[in-house]
Amino acid sequence: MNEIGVGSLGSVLPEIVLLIGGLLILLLDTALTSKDNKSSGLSYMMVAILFLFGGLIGAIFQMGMEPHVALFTVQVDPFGAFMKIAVILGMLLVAIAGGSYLNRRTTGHGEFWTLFMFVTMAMTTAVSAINLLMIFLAVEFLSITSYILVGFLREDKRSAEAGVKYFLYGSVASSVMLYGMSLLYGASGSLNLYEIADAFAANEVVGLVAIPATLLTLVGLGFKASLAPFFQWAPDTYDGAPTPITAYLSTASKAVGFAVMARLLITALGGFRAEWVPLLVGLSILTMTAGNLMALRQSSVKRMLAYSSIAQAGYILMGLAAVVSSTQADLDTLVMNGLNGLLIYLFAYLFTNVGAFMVVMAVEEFTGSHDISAYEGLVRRAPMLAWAMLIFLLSLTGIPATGGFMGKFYVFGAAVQHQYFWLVVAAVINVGISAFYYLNVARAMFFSLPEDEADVAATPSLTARFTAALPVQAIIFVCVIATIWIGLYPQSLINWANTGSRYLLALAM
Amino acid sequence: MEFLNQWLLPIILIWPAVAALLTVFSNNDKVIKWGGILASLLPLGLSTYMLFAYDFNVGGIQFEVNVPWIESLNASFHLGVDGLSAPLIFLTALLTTLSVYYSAGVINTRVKEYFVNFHLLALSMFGVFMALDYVLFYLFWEISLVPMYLLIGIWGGKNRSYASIKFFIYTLIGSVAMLLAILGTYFASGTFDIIQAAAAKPFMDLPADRALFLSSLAFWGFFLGFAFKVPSFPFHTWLPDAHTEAPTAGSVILAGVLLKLGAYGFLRIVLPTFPMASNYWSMWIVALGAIAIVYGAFVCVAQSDLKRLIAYSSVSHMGYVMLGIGAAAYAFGYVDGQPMLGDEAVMNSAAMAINGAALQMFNHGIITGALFLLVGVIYERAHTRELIKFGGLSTKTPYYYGMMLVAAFASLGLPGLAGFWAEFFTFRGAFALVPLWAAFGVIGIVMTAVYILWRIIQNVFLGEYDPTKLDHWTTVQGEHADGPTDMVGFEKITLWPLIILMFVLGIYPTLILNFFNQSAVEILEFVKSVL
Repeated sequence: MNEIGVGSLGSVLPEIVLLIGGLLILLLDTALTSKDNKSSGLSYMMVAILFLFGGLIGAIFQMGMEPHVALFTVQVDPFGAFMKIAVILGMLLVAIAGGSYLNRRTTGHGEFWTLFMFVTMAMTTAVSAINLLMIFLAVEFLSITSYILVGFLREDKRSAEAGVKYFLYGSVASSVMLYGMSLLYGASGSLNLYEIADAFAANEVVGLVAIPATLLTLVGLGFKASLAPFFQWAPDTYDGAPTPITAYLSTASKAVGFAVMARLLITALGGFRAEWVPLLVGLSILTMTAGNLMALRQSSVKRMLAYSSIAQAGYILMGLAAVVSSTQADLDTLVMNGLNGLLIYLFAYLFTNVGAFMVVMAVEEFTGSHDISAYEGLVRRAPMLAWAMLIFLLSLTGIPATGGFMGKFYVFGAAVQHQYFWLVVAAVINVGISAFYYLNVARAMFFSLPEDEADVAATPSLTARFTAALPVQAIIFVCVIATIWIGLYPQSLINWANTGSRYLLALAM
Repeated sequence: MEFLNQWLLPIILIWPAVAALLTVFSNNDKVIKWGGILASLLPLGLSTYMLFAYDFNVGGIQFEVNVPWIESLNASFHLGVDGLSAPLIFLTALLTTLSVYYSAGVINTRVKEYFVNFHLLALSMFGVFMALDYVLFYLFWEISLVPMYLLIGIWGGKNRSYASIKFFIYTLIGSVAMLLAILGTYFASGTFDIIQAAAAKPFMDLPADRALFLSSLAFWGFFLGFAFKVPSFPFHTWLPDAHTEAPTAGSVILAGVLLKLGAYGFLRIVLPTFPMASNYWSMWIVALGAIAIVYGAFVCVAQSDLKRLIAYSSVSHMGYVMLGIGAAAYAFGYVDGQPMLGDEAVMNSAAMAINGAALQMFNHGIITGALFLLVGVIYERAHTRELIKFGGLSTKTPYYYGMMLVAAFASLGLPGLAGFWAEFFTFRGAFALVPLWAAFGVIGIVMTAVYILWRIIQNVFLGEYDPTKLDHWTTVQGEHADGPTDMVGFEKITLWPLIILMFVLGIYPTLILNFFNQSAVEILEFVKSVL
């Protein structure tokens, strides 16, 4: 099937569906002359959701496909399918719950939803690309569309600033990554990840280039995944971006960073495992510690979640740092191979964090604030939101019966298996630190209630009840159910992650 | 009966979850309260039945349920009880029922959330005592944090935010360390089953120094998890805050059951699974236990707040448990190449130490539970717990005085009441094995008498009643009263079962000791077989 033809279209089915969706919205926008802002936004959103569903079905369809390389640049395999489904699911959740929020705040709905579809397509392409050029194009496409989406609220100075900041940091990171890739190409003479691996295996002298090349490439991907020390853009960008955009940046977009990193390191640079593993261990400790320490001092919940997502990236990276090499163990029987922990963590984190950001959005819609003071006594005003948020916070902390625990269980397990003692000790301390700021939100929501009724009457903001819009409620509900389901009965998810991770690991030498 | 025996544990475990769910969908406070009380009676009844149905001739794990759960982890929904956990499940059910009943009388704000939390708390505690699978064990262990955190934070005293977060973070750090140890044990033994993992002798197939290093790491992981919960000195600093700020029923459960989870973990997991590491570090456990006994008792004497005093007394009393466990672990060693447990006398002493520790767990549950309830009784009326504000209450509230006398003397270890036997067995076992530290611990017993007799009995009850000391008494319902009023019906009903148990177990400790001894011997025989 390694040829360009109609037969290979099935291999890029999700991407085609998403692309058609985006182009359709663009066409509709030019065709429709009446600029009725309200209805156009809603109809584009509907189209987007429809085609995202289509893309999801396409990705599920790919799960059953025989793994193969298509169009010389992408590979259809269980690992890619897992990531595609996760990414499209995340975008779908964001579109359904955040769509009307975005429509109300933005002008130019046509452009917005077109970009939204394109960004999804860029992500699904990136996770399956096996060619350096394709990886770069997809990641760069993802970045550029994201810059625009982040700065889409033109009237909002913070949004514009967030967009510019993201762009400035992002373009530097991209160029450094490109430099790294050019080194890989120069040393191996190929853009294909497998051929690069072969070239390095064949020639030891050439292999020396791999180490600086890996470092430089990791800068770009580390930027996407918001790893220390490339995370400085994240807090301002996450804070300033429209909340639904923040939700996907911190989950789906980050997942793409990890997926590409995993594929590149394991497939092309698997031979240099001994070099990049200590690097990842160090980055992991640095990332989780930096994210957690800075999250401690935040008074804005949105900004706190931004720093927390940096810290979470540190835990997720543990999975990749503790990945096994296929020569070390029998992959089919190994329970924790590191990479499956990364996948499970990403999947659980997706639902948890999207849910948390949707609660932030709902509170913001009503109170106009992200500040922790807007959450005081939330359990009185919006009990369902408060309880849902508690579950998300517990999941982020890693308390059992939530998905966040299963993720931690697997990545910690992988690290313990390799006896990375410093890594796990750092992780334990960090979990303790993180509980403090997560539960600070729980404290505000549940504990801060005026003692007697006279006080309640005096402070109406503490008593005015509100509910989120129906789609938001529905998505939050879905996220709660998914979080608890992954925490209590993750068998099917584990099987799925095992298939995906074992396939990728078995490919490496 | 066959059906009941087979499903006994799942019913006890799931029932509180059903009660919590029903509570969520109910909007009438009265229904929630009475429904909660009635719901808590079923686990109590079933766990009482369980005590009678446990077959001593067979011994070991009974009422077992083992259903596959997460297959790719090989984790299963494995429940079972033995002589160690059966009485503790009964204790949990009893204290839960009494706490729910007492709370129905005093909690009037956010009733629904309160009772939902309480049912979930019961669920997690039953779960920890029943679970025989590490993943399941850890699941329930951690879930217990959340309702207790909310109970302290929402219905607690002035400093509740601080106390609740401190409680949560301290125990969480310990728990995550334990999680790592669980994972390490899993990789060494290949199973998450607690019993099978112990039988697989994790790490013992490695070279001796590597085996000691890794099993010590696992030991310290578990140690941190359990020691924070017990709490063992120097990990105890969350306890006074949490106990003092928690609502009365929360303190009862916290002291009565949650602390026991830690001690239970030592006996269920650490001693059988890591006998070599336990022995290697046994003097640390012994020393920390003995220091806790003495330190806790001295700190008690210095307290000015009655509830804080009782809280520190828990530190001291849980020190006995650590002392007993440490002494037993010391007996796992070798003398002249021969295992010490081979000696009949050492075996007996170790069994006594474990018996004492286990008995202390049970007795501390009922005694401190009662003491916290009694503190709640006076706090509802005086709205202060400052010892200096009280005095001469014996003439004003004789019924209360009587109850307090029994509980306080039981706590002090007066023969004829429950506390005595636990101290007796612990020290009998410890003196034979680790005489110096046991002798040091005796100082704590003396100081216990000081703080019980002087600080509690004399300061609060004896002397002349001085009405100027405190002028804003209320009744338990919050109406104005001219002076201290005596206990009312629901408070008496809450306390009587505990008082009766103190007498019964003081006069005839064999009732409970039979269970503990069964397990103690089983643990020691097992350790002897794998050493």
